[in-house]
Amino acid sequence: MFAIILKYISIGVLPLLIFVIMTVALVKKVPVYETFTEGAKDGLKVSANIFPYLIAIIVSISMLRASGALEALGLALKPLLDYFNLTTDIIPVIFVRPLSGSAALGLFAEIAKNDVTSYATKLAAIMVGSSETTFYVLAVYFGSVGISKYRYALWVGILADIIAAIMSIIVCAIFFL
Amino acid sequence: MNYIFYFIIVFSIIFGATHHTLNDVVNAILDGSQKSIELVIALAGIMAFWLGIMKIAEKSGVVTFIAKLLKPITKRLFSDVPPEDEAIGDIAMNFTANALGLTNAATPMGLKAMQGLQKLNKDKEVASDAMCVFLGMNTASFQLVPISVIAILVGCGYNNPTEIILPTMIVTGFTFVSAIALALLFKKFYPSLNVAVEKDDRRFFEKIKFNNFNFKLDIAGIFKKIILKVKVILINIRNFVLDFLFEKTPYTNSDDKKSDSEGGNE
Repeated sequence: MFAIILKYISIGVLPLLIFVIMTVALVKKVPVYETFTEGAKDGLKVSANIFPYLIAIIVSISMLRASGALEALGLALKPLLDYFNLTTDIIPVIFVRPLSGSAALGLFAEIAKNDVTSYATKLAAIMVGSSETTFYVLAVYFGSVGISKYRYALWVGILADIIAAIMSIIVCAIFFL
Repeated sequence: MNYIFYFIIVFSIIFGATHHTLNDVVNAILDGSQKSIELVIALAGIMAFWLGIMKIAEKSGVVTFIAKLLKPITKRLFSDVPPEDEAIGDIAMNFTANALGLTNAATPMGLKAMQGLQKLNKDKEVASDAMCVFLGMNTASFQLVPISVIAILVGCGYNNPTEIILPTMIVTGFTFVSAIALALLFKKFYPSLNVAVEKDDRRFFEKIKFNNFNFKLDIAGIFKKIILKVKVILINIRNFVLDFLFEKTPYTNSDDKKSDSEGGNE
């Protein structure tokens, strides 16, 4: 019963959001079609912006995997990884995530491309989806107003990343194991 | 990122060469580049659709509406920012845009909020508490729909991509709350700049509440200082030139004159 409710929430969020937005737009008399096309134009731009990062990460990680190095590492760490229901693919995701959003997305794409129905894909999806690139955000936001001493902002960001990684592992295990 | 990229590529070539998998590595290059362009094309469609919908949300005022709803909460989180300050609204807008996955729209709003916070900041080089809380909120940003992740899942042929929405929401929500809690905790225990500055801060905010031209006064003060400094420099130059022209060799004499003229000018 509980599982079914959760499933409906997961499925329902997206259409509900779209429904509400469309209804409000209708009430407010927004030119829906023109506005939509205007926004959609940016979609290609966004994808084009991600593309260089995707290709860099996907190709380099594919090479690493093909060379057999990833497997060797996985064998070495197997007991630890098994304990947390992880695979070797996840490790780079955890470390790259706070550094670069596009790179993390690329790593995730590499995992998904390999085996889309695997547990690792779901875990990586949750990890990447629930994150923000800490160092990028700090650099851009503080840089824009010329602040050089971050005080505890950096610590909060890093701790939040660690919490997010741990939570992803726990929640994913609850949902998909 | 540069080192990581370099290391991965060089390492996998060396590892492949020493483990007789070089052929696979070469194939991986060709295969990987082809796969990534396929993925981008799949991604572009969903991305475009979502951004189109979100543009409607922006234009119809849904984003502003949610931001307004959140204002009471934001006010409480940023107790050291005057509640009617524009920055509070910007922060709420930034959060809402982030939650809806409008990263491109969120960044300018966030930067505007930072400028607002910087105006209230005492030391322009050191982050204020409000900034730290705001960025803590931002680095652990709450996501309602992780659209790019869903797009990739769809691109790879996953048949039920929306099932990751709820787990992601739980994780991101938990992280978000704990990031704010951490920031507030740090704020209490982190050695603040010093007590005198904090007291000064409070006075500063009270001033802002009661007269709005406080900022102008500040500018006037800075100008006064600059003008004073320029005056001193000009006087020094003038004295130097006078000394040079009239060759007043005895130093005591010229020094006396300098101080005299300075006093006269002020």
